Amino acid sequence: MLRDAPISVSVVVPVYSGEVYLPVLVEHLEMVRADWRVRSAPMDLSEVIFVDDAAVDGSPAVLDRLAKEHNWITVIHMMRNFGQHAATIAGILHSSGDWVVTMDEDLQHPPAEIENLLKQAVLGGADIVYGRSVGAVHEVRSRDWTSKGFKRLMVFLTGNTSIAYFTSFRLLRGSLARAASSVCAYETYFDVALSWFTESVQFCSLELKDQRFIKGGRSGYSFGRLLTHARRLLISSQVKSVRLFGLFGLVVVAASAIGGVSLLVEKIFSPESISIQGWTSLMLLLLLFGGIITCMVSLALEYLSTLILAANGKPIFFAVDRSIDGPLFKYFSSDAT
Amino acid sequence: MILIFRQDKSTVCECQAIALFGVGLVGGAIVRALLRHGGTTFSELPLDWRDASQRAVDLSCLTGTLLCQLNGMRIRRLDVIWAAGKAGFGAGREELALEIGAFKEVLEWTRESSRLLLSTKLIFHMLSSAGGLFEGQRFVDRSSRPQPRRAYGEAKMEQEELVKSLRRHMDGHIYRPSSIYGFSGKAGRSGLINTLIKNAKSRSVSRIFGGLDTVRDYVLVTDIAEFIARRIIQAETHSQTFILASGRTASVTEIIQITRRVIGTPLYLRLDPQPSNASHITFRPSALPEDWRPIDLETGIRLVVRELSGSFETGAKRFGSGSLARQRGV
Repeated sequence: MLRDAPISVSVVVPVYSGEVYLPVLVEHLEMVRADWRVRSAPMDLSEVIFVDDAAVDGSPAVLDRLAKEHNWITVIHMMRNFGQHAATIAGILHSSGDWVVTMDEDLQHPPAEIENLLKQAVLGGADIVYGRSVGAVHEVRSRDWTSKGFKRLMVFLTGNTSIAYFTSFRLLRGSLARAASSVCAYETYFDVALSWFTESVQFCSLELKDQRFIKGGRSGYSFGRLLTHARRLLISSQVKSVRLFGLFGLVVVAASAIGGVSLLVEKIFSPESISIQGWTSLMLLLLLFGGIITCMVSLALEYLSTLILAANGKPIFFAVDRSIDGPLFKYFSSDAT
Repeated sequence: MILIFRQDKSTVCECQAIALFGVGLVGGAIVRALLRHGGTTFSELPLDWRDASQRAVDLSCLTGTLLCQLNGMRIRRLDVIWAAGKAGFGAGREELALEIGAFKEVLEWTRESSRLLLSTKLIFHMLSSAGGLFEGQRFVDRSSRPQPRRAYGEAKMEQEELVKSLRRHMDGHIYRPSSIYGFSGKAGRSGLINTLIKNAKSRSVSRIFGGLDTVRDYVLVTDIAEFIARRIIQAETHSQTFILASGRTASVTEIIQITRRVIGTPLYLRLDPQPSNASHITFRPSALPEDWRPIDLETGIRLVVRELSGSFETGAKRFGSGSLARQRGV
């Protein structure tokens, strides 16, 4: 395929209440854009897509003004509040870049770090790089622990180890981002959809701070939203615990079968040793049928899970062209030496 | 070709004539858009696209028809629309040379008409191709320069230059639509979306010439037709070049997903291992005209599916070229 130069980077920012932060964010993005151009870097910050998710403050007007001032800014106004994931997906589906960066509106994710994410992706051969905080994001221990604990629980329940990295500051290969966004259904968790396409996921340790929470004590996450996230994560993932449930049923069936055989042997060779008649065989029968029912239920759940994943758009295959990384690899390699 | 007359509401002795060359996907949609705006009569006239000598005869017949129509009525304005083009994206130079030859003859006929109809204002409208001109370019805006990569794009650029030279004598509008989709009846070339829909309905295999991650910009034909029809109807005009894109990128994967979702049946696909049409082409929203409001992609695909389903029921007779051949008054 003929390549278009330079490598283009699209930035997608969902906006809900960022009136105060947006002009500064655009300023920072413009600095990155200008810096890359001055340095004649092989990448270009080609577009920034703001998705106004029915913002509750004056963000829409601020965004429209910024879009008039900069032709590389695109604004999409959502008809109602669809949520951060839907807004991110809408933004990605409007993007054209070879790489897509998603970030929050509130300066929690510094635009200057985009280059580090890109470097990590290219040198590490990754399709997705999550920006992971090295310190406390919220500077409130309970809040940070809740976040970490929630992710660990989800990793245990789903078996998807990438969940530990999930943050909204991500760098995605453009083709992957658009493909995953296009298969996402209403309840699909976007990051889980991404993991259907690639296993080349890495993280980049960054100093991230939730300024909105630190300064104002306001957070976009409540306990209710955390539960919603958990539900969507579980629905989108193949739940590992269902298989454990099935395995448990099989063990019970096997135990009851062994118990049944030993009881039969005992009944034939030393019937006088059985003092109470019928009780043990009743328990073994209960165990046998309980185990069989458990197995059947887990099998039905497995079928259901497969159907839900198919409905959620899990692909059979997806091809990737990583040859576009060549100029960036050369650039970052020489930079590293 | 089709000759259309629009009766002015203000006066009975004046009318507007519209000569439309090429009644394919876009041309047919323009006729329907003009009909929707009312006060229109139209008739189909022969025009031989293969034989140049016959075409010259046909064009002089067209002049005759125009002059006969005068019959005490003044043609206030004549809009000539070039929406023809059998040669597709992958066409060779020979095929395109024939098309450019026909285009030059129509331009010459337009110049002659301006000499014959002295009191008539002439406006030329040309359908170009944003895809052909900007193939391989992303984030195309008003300052982007066309850099065609194949003969098709070069031909479109040559045609545009000819229209620009015409602008010294009359207004000349150039429309550069991106990838067009829409209901085209039975005949004509078919783009990705149309092919996917038609093949899904007939349970046939669709061959994909682009990569699954190829990003393009799709516009519904009725949006384009409506935009051009507005330019034809509005009184005041000045020469302009319009990029008619949606400003909304869509990958081939997304198109397949939407079509599959809308139709509700499996799509049988055959992917080219070495896709011949895989260059990205996207446009910035700032490049688009201010009064241009393209429809949302999924809604557009739903409309096409509905029209196609309707045509299956009615045998596609109503929308086919046969209907345009009949004299019709509204």
